Amino acid sequence: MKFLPLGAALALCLSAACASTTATIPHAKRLASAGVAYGKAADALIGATEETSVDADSARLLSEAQGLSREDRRALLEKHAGTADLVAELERLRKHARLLTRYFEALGNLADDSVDTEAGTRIDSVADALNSAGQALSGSKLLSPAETDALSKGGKLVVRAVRSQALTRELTRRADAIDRELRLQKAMLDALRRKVQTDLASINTLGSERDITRPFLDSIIADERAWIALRRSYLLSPRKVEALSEASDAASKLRSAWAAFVEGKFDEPARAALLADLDSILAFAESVKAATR
Amino acid sequence: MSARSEMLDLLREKVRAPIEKHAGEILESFGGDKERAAAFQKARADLDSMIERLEEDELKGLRKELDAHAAELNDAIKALQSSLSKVKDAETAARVFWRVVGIAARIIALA
Repeated sequence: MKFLPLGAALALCLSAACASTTATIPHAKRLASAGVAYGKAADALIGATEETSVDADSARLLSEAQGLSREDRRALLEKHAGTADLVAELERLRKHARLLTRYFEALGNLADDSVDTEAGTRIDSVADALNSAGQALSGSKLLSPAETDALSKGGKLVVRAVRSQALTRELTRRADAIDRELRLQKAMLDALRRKVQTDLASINTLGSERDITRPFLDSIIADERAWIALRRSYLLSPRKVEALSEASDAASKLRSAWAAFVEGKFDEPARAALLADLDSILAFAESVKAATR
Repeated sequence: MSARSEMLDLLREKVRAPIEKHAGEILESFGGDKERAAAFQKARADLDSMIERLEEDELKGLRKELDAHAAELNDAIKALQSSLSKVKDAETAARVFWRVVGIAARIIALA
């Protein structure tokens, strides 16, 4: 039996290790930038969705108030007070998305070769805040019991060491916690889509009847430019629902990318799939910019 | 599909959406009758409240009650759709709408 000299074996081993670990740092950077892009896009989209829900409620309020006495109108206004609760819930979800953005920014900093302790401290405080925001959201009434149940039964990721010690330490501490926050994002966005779909339909039906159809049929359009702009906004609003569906997909892909990164699945097909997923998250971020413009 | 999602879909898409679409015609069909207009608008607000409650609460007995009243509810919804499809049947639509809201309220109250 022929043995390789120790030096040659070590060189072979190191080059193999390098092949996988040198890919890890750019990989971490890419994942971090996709996470940042996702968080920013989700925040913008939830903000737009919040406006849609409030507008739908106002459109219903106006429509349901027709023909009512002042007293009945007051009672109706009180019945619609619950919208404030939904706004508060959506603000919590936006905060969660913003903290996710900051977490991935901090993770990107950790991936830098010149890691300092400040970066480590920063990621700790962001992760703690993210976890608190996630706990506040996990009891959301928007989630179905099945979704709440699924969130409580998280899987366990097996962390593989990364070249950067700081990154390895971070993944070992929080791989499962971040996985849970990403699953929470997806569940909340799915729940939001179900609600917003009907709100948008109401805005379109009630609003276009009030602002578009009636003024047109009765020939009482005072400002034609404003009427044209309003008609455009009614016709284009369904794009927000599509964007919410893309956001939920993007959250799911970001979670897969996170799991693949944590578990060190760097074989060629997994790497290609991950790159494609990350590209689609960035494409989602672009589509949100267009939808919320 | 859970009973909650099924009931929400029915109330949002098969009852509230078509009523919102035809609310103007129905109100016009009452002429100057303020009492009937107020009753119709109150039924719409009650429907909103039921939808909001279903969005927020998981009612344990909903499946049983929904199954028990499914035929009655579906018949009433079909009658609503049929009356709304006829241009001059807005008054019937309002009557059937009250019936649908009544059945839904009974299901939710018993669940």
